Amino acid sequence: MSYRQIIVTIVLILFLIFSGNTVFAQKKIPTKKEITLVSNAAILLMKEGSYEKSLIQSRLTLSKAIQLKDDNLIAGAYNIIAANFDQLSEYEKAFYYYNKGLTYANKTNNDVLKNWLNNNLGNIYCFDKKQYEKGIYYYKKSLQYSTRIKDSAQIVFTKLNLTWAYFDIGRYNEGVPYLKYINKHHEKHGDISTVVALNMLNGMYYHYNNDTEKAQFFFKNAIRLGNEGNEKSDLSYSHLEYSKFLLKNGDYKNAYKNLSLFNAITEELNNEEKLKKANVAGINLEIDEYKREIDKIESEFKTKEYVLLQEQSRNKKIVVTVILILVFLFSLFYISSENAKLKQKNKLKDLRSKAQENMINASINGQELERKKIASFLHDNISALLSSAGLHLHAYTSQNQSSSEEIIKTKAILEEAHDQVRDLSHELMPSLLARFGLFDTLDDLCEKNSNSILHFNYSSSVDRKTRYDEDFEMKIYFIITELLNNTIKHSNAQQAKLNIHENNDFLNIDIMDDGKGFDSSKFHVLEGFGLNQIRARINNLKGTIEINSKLDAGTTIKIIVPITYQKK
Amino acid sequence: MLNKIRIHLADDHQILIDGIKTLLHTNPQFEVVGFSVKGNTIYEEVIENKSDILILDINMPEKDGIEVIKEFAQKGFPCKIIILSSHDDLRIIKEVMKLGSSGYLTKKCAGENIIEAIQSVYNGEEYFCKAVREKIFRTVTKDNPKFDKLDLGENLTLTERELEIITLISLEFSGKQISNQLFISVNTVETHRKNIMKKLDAKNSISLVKYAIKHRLIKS
Repeated sequence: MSYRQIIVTIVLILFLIFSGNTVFAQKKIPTKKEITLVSNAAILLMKEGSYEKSLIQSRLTLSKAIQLKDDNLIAGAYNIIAANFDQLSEYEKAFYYYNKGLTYANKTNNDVLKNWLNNNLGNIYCFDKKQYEKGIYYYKKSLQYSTRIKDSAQIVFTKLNLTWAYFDIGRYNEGVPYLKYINKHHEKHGDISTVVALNMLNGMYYHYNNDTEKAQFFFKNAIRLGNEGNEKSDLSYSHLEYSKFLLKNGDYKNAYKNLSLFNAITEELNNEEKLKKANVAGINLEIDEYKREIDKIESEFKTKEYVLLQEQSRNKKIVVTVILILVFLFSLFYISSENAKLKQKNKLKDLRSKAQENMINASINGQELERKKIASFLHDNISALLSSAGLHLHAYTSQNQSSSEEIIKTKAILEEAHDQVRDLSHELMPSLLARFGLFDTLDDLCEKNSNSILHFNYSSSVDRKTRYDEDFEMKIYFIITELLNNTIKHSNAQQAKLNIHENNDFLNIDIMDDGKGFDSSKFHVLEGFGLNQIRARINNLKGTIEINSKLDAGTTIKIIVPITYQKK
Repeated sequence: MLNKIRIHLADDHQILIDGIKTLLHTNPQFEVVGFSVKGNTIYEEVIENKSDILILDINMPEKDGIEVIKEFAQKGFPCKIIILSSHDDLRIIKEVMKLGSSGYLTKKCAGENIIEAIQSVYNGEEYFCKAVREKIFRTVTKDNPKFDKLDLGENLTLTERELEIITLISLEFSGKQISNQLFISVNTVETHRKNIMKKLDAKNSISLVKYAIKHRLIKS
């Protein structure tokens, strides 16, 4: 059995567990699609004016985007957050988040985002911080990106901002090219939200150029559109600039009127702003509170989750380890028990086969011993008794000088008994074997077995006087007798050969015949020829037998046995 | 009958010794002077009791018959030996005859032939019981293509032994060869030959061959 298989299995199990762990871990990270969805929701909420809700959503977006380490999404989230604060007039916060957003956006190729962020930053510098140089720098950057992405609406929008910035700081000449561009393209790419500012800027331009009539026209236009539209801030600025223009032209009454309108709208806007801020402050407070709560809960949850996860993974690992150990122990136990079983089985088998071998050997040896005993008993004792009976009978006849029919018959019976005893004894154990050894006996055997149909040819390179251990000779003799008997009974051969030679303490015995042969692969055939008995006898001598026989091609039998020499 | 033939018996079966004794004592010519059931003291015993003939078994404890003959051959034969054994293998017969025994009886023919055997051997001839003699002769002529068959029943002129001899002479066996093949001495062969010539009134060997062909002892 293989330890290797089990190791492979264990490795497989381990692999599955660890790969499984990584699969679980990956599941915790949100997908891009998810974030984009949340982000879109935040944008939608902002457009609706639900800045607080939008802020919550955008924060969520941010945290997930950070988790995902996607710069694009991070920058987008910062932009939305900043935009919300911008709308809430929280300029400092907006400024902070726009800057953050820009940092991330600069790492990406997202020119749309870069355009927005730069423009928005420019707005904050110009309108809130009154740092026009910086504002103009950002506007120009924004312009680069919007030009690159060929967004005409954005170009118009940013150029408007630029014009306004230049006009605010009195650098009309630098602002004019932008104003001309806007005037040319506003109709096509402009927007109702910027139309008030555009008219106002034109008014300021003509005011600067002392073109009263045109200035008058544009300012009035701006105020009319401002009153019609929603851009109250722009309207207020239009009133302010118009008031400046009227003041310069000596129309103090209308100048005052417009200034007071500017103040009124600004105040209104400021109030609105205050309200918003108050709300936002409250909301902020709430949000912060809420956020803190959420953070707390979240962190608690996270901690718990982490602990739980750790515990889980630890538990899992423990369970897995225990299972692995159990599996390993079980397989080890199984293998060892199987091994033990196998060993025991083998041992038992060995014992059994040994016992069987011993039994066979014992039975062979016993058989031979018995043969020897019976043969010599018949040969010596019985023939002596019969002989003695014959002698007495002869003594009787010679004393009485009479030979009756009965006595003659008795003598004949005695002689018959003699012959039978001799034949049986000879069959059991040839007397020649003990006296003259194997080779003489085998030669004799071949001679005796030869007849007019089948001739046995005996040949041996061994000196015929060579003697081996008596038991060994006997065993060899019986093996050969058995094989020659098979030849006589089954082969239908005309010629048979028995050749014996020595080879380095081994006795090689070859028996060949030219008979009909048999299929040596068929067990029952061998069984029928008593070959298993012969095999057992050869095994008993630790020798080998090789039987080659084909139908109609004769039979060759080769036996090689180690010689047991005579004990000295 | 001045001198009885002194006989020593050697066999490990007392019952057989008793049987032989009983039979031999029916004939006043014989005297059983001793017996042994073991082989190792036989030589001394036969010298001691001045035996003329030793009836010797081959299978015996301590020293078997063949060893005894060897001992005799080595030390000189104090008496003649007739083997009485249950063995009837020619190799054994040949062996003991070569070693110098004078007759061979199987136990089967002991009762029938032992007296004849002792007499023959005592008279200086070799003796084999009928079965052994026939076996020897069969072996000699077995593969000889000229040998016809030995039908001994009807011939009243010659003995069976004489028929064997005349057959072998006709098959061109020399006296020496016949001696070797039949385990008998050259003298015995010569004696048989002379007896045959006399009986058949033959002048020479050619007459013997003619007789053999005529009586279908050999093929023409």
